[in-house]
Amino acid sequence: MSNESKHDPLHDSAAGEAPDSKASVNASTERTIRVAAMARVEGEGGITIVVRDGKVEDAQLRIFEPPRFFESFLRGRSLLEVPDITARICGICPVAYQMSSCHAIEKLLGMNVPAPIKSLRRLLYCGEWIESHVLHFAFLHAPDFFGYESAIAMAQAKPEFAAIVRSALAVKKAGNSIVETLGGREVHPINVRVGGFYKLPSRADLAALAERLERVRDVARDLVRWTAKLDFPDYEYDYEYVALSHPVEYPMNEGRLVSSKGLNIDMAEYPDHFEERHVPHSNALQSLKKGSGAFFTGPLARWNMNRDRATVDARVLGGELGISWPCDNPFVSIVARAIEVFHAVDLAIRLIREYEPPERAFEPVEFRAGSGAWITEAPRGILYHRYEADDKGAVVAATIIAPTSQNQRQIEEDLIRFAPTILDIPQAEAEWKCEQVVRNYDPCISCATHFLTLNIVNK
Amino acid sequence: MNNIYNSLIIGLGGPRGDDAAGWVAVDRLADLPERGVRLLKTGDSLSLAAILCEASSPCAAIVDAAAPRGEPGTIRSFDRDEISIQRGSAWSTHGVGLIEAIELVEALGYTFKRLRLHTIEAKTVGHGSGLSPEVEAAIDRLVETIRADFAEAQPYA
Repeated sequence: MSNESKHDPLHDSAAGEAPDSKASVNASTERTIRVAAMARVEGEGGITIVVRDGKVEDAQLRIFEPPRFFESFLRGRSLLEVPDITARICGICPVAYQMSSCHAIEKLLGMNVPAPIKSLRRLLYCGEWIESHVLHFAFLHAPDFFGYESAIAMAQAKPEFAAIVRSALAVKKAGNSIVETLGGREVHPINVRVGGFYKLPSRADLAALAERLERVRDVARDLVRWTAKLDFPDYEYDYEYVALSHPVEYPMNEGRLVSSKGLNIDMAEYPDHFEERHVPHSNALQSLKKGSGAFFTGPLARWNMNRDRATVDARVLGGELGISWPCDNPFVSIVARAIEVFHAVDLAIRLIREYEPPERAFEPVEFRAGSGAWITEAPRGILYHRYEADDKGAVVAATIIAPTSQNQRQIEEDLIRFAPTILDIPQAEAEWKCEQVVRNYDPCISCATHFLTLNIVNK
Repeated sequence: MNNIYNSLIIGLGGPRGDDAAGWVAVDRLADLPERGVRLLKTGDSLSLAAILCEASSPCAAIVDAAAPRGEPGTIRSFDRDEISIQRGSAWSTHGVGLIEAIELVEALGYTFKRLRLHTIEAKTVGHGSGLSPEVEAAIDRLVETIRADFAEAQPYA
């Protein structure tokens, strides 16, 4: 992240103001679609779309949740504290922060962890993918497709929907059980450390977990089939998808960073190809791919580019849904999210079955000065961490770039392209549709606002 | 209280500060399983919903810390018909609250003969690992209340 704040010439309105404005229509030339504060997303944000003379002039994803300065207060702390501190950035995806930080620090320290530790890390990540994805697709996103304000209203409407919600609860609980078993507790796990885990799970714990996962495997498959039958708006765009890519694994913790338009780099080269900019209406920096701008990260990007490395049954399932992959309709993200849940359940069962305990719970740590960067696949997309440390293991500098920051510009560009299709519908419905566009990306605003470069200019 | 909760007491919250009130209360009721009561702890409202669905218990008690309002340690107890969701409140991933979770369970067709919510007002919800003295004392009082309920109550068949 640069210390120089760059302002985006496309966005010249006031900085992320409070969510108190209402929708307005200027009968002659201008209409504003404004969602003051979005529901069913994590964190505090809003949308403003300005239409002039029938043309969409601008769209802003306003993020007014205050910045949280995590990178600054990591400075001076021990590298060993970083996974636990950064995990606090998000209550939904703490494992992602633990995974990216551990790998970046191990890279900095020149450490290698044995295969069983890698397997346990993937298993833990499966748990987070399951609980985060199910929460979003079943409880926050699915109601959009039927016009319900919440999952409660959806469940009350029809027995079929109640059954879906009940199934989703069961699958999510299985994901929580993975995080609890490996992470020590289901919310804000505490068992991850640089080099491995504080405590290894017992075989009995893993056997009980596998049994629980087996019970929801078919349920997760049925949820995928249900999402595939949703009525998707007719909207496609030639996106540049960005995700990790691994020769044999569906990406989580390892691989090269690739895009659907030819990027193929070592993850440490990320800063050479991507940049962050400050826009006045957002307390979160926006990421851009240098030379091309917005890009798309998250489940749809991963599935579009890596589905041939999913579990066999997930691949079969993906192929029988009547959806042509790769799919360029962002509303189909809900299906990709659901397939990743099935994949994660399936993979978790396999990882448990194949698990052989390592000789020790964690590899010993020897500090040295240096820097290390890593990317892992958080539920919402790529999560970049980079650390510099001194020879005593104290953090000198930290950079964390969350998936929601990376998707922000893409979300705004989607709104600009999608808005012309809703100009003739009532205001409330138009606002709802715009929120649905944003929810395609499952934005986590609290993640995105964990940082803000403070630029003080003395004149 | 005329009847036993019949098997389910859930502590809601986290391990730190006064937010741990629900978990600590459940820990201090550890002898109740001998009477067929299940004790559970969770920090996730949707997990609470899943637990309530899975258990299908006709009666449940939930213990949670309440936000500070100037009277730390105050215990407030409610039956199901005394609590309701504020209409128009928006769901978010962090905002699936206790009441929304209960409403969700009911929307799924599960009904309770008795659902009792006990809250202990926190002194602070900031950083720190220990309970405040006010909440610490309140947990002891609440645990005795719950224990007395069970001593007088007859379990459901």
